[in-house]
Amino acid sequence: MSRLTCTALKAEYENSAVFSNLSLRVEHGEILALLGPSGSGKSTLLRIIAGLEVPVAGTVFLDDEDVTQWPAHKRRIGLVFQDGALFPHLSVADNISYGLKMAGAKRASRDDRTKELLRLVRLEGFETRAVNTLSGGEQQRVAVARAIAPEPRVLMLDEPFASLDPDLRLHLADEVREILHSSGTTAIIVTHDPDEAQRFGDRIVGLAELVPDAESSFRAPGAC
Amino acid sequence: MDERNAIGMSATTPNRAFRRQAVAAGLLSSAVLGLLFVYPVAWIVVKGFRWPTVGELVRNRRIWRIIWFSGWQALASTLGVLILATPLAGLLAGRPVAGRRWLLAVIAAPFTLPTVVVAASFREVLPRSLASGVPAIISAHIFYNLGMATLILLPRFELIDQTLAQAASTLGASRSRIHRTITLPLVAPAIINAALLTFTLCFTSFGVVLMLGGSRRTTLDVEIYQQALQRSRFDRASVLAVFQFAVLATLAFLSSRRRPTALSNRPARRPNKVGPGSRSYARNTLVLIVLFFVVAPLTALVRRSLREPSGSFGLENFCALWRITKGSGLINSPISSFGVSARSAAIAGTLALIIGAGLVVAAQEVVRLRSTFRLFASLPLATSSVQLGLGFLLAFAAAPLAWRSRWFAVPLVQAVVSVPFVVRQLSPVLEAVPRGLRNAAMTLGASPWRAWRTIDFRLSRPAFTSAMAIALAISLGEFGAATFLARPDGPTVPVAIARLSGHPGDVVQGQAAALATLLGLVTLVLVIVARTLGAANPSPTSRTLEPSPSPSPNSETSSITSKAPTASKLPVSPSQSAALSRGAQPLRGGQRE
Repeated sequence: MSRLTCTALKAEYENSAVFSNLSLRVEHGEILALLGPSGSGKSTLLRIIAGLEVPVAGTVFLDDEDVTQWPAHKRRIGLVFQDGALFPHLSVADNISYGLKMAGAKRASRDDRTKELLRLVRLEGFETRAVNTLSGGEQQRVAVARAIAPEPRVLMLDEPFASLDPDLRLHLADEVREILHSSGTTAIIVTHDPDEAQRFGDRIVGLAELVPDAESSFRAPGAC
Repeated sequence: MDERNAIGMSATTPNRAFRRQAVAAGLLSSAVLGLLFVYPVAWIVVKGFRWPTVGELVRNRRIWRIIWFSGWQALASTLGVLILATPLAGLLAGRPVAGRRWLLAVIAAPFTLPTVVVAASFREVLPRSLASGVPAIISAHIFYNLGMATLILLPRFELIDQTLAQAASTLGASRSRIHRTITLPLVAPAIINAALLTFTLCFTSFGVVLMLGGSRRTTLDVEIYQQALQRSRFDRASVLAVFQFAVLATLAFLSSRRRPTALSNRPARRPNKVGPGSRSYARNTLVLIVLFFVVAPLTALVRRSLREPSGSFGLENFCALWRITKGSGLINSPISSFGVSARSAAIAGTLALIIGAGLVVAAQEVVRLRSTFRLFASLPLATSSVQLGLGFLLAFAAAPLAWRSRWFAVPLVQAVVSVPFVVRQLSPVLEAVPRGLRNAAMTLGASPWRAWRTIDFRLSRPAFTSAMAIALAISLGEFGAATFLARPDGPTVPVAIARLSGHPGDVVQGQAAALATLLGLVTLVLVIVARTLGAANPSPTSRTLEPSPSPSPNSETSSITSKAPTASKLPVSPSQSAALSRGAQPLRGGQRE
């Protein structure tokens, strides 16, 4: 039984197909790097898996359970956005514990888990800091901690290091990979950078490989 | 040797000469405002205020009832406004709505109207049993302020990055929890701003309460008017006015203490076209309710103005405006009030334009005195026009300044009321004219004043016309001060409408509706002219002085201000423009009645 299975997915944007007949399988604890040029539909695929968009056709299974029509908040799929999308009115600790609060965790266990994650992302002592006072790298580490806090069934990272400078990007990629491995989290990282994909993923897949008839199934890159 | 002398220049450079003239203009404008605003207000505080009267009023249970009523009706109106405006702004900020611009224009229209027109509309739309009293007052306040509150909330909603809601959703938050934990906390500063402003406007409500309150419902402003003009108790009126200053100052203080959360480090992204669920049904229903709420009273007023005493529809009521009707409360024909208002508005507009331009140019030229001139320009926002009318009545009673009964008292006070709005129109445009152009003109032989006239003024002429239109609209609709100062034989249009509305009879009521309809139409035309000129303003900013495209990440206020629908983007009225400026900046004062 795979952790995540997508079959024959089709997505459209303004009545033109982004991709069609796309299938994907990710195993438990695996880190998959999804490679493709900008505008090829990588982010759309993640948004469909997360439940933020509904596919025109196809099915999404989580542990063999059809979740295609489930709303995002019931899927337990974490998503790290390209720019972090940290909540500006909440502190670092409140950002990290947000998902735990939504899951109904008690205050004490939320605090413990938050401390543990802050240690994991090496941001101890940052609990009360406002998120807009953090550097880009720190913000992304908080975003990762926030996404893995509620122990999602799959964690997806949408070009999470794209806005950082090259040195920091590779350094952070190593750190996050280590965190995901140590927590045994199943993850998909989307990137257009082959080096980053190589460094991060246990398996690297080009988006075109997921579609049997790639020529007719993708629209031109950048047309989004 | 001095370099200037070495190259044969005079010791006074052209720029320095212009700066001197600008300072003189600024000081003169400030002096006029000092005389027409600071002096009357100071008169109320220093000479009108009596401690024994304070004790007398504190023991008066009726006064406490008036304060209580002023407070709770303002609170109820504010809640009503927020209950409608918050979801409306949220929905309008979401997915694209067909005709959004027109929808906003219609919703904003009531706030552009004089309060007497709003009150006259509600007298017509409500059943006779509800046409005066609390329901009528609160409905009219909601109608009047709904557009203003929506326009304050909308930019804040639009600044919220939809990715935040999506992130919350992937963390397990349902739609209602996203609203509660993400959207509302982020919009809260704008909600508080809109609430404080609506509360202030309703707390100091005058025209609506005077016309719809009946004999039992009175706010502080109405009580000030009654104590001063009906009972000649100027000491009581002054004490109540000082109390109202204190309330307004507290609200302004509360407003200025808040620091909004920065929303994002980058421009907001609009939601994706594809997504689960649809809110179109809820959105369309809400939009229809609001449209009905806004359109129904205005339609009722126009319908009443066309309903003749015989019951048929025609223009009889408009023709009757040229006749003197017995028992109408007017000595002359109702239409003659248009002549009074037109003359008054023309003088007030011109004076406001001169004072405003003087202050703007002075603030622009003299950095050290900039904040002083700006303070003077915004001073008139610190009071309601009823308080200003009372101040005029008291301060300009004796020689050599016995002006309160002279024909020019009304235009003077209306000019003061209009100055902040004129400054708001002129300031960004004049400040955007590159100084290099004037310098170039001076090197070609133009004197400093001529260079300003042929370059700065020429480039900003649409802004001057737009500011004049706004000053005219304000002066035409100004009611509070005019009730104190208008002569019995020469009422302004709002005063004439209020007098006609207070007298029974089909003919008189028809005249009141016709006059209110005409005033509403003229005001709307002026606001549209101001807005069109504002939008078409060939401001040099776009070509030569484009400001930095991205404000600093944390400059939330500047983002809000720059994104707020201003007079150049939406059909914004004088009062609305002020409200928006106060919505983005510290709250300053009362309603322009």
